[in-house]
Amino acid sequence: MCIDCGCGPSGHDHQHKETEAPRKTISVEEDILSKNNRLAAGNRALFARQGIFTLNLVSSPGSGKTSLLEKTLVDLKNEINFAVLEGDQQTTNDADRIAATGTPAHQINTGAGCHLDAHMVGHGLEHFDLETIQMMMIENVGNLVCPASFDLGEDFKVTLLSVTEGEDKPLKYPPLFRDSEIMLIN
Amino acid sequence: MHELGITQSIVEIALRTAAGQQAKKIHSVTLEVGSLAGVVAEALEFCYEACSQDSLLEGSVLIIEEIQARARCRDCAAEYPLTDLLACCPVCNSAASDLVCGEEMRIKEMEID
Repeated sequence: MCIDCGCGPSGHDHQHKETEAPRKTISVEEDILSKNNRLAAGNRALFARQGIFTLNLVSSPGSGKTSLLEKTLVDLKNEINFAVLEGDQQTTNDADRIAATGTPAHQINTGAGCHLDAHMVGHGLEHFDLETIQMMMIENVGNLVCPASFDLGEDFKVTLLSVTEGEDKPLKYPPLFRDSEIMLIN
Repeated sequence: MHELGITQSIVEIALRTAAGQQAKKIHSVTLEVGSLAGVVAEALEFCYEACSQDSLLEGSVLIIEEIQARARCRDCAAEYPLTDLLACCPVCNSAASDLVCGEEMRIKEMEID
């Protein structure tokens, strides 16, 4: 019986193609997010070089990220030079609200995307004069799931939880809460 | 659906590796995915089929091996499997822990001709 094709015991009356090379297994051991992580490391190095402290704000949609930013920017604008990168699927509504406080802002529209990644942030930074900025606030797309996996190069991830969205959100969406260095209850 | 972006990275790495090996065909790609990596295996498989069309990966099998997350207690140093992200230490009941593994997302190996 042919061990390649399992044909019967009556004799082997056919040829196998010469090109049938044996399969081989090769070790890859490469991080799937290595590209994002490499770009995030580049962003982090850029922030460090410019002396910019960076926060990545994550939460559900509507929990108050933009309102918190507006209030913070107005209260501290005489002490710290801020800039804000806004992430949303569509519209420039949030960047417009931030710009109204007098803070430089740039809107990233992710289209179908559910999170910001390091590549988008790297290009977003091209819209600012980084020399003049001390603190960069990145407002991620409102989503409690996907932003957990993507490092943007920030110093700290800040999760905002508004009690009206349900107090059990940390139990339901633990990775993001676990990943954050700071959690604010609104 | 961030699985689509992740799948595109898988395809990119697999095709680059295959080109480096002068592979004529890729039969399978094996991933190691931590139980806390935040990706859904079914969604990855769905995206993989779509992303692998018209490439060396077309018709290949995506094999996903799950790595069970483990945590180490900051108070008593016990190591335990983390089935629930907010679980307490089974030895001393402390809630303070560090993740030992479980967030991995990497391509382990490929089977090629």
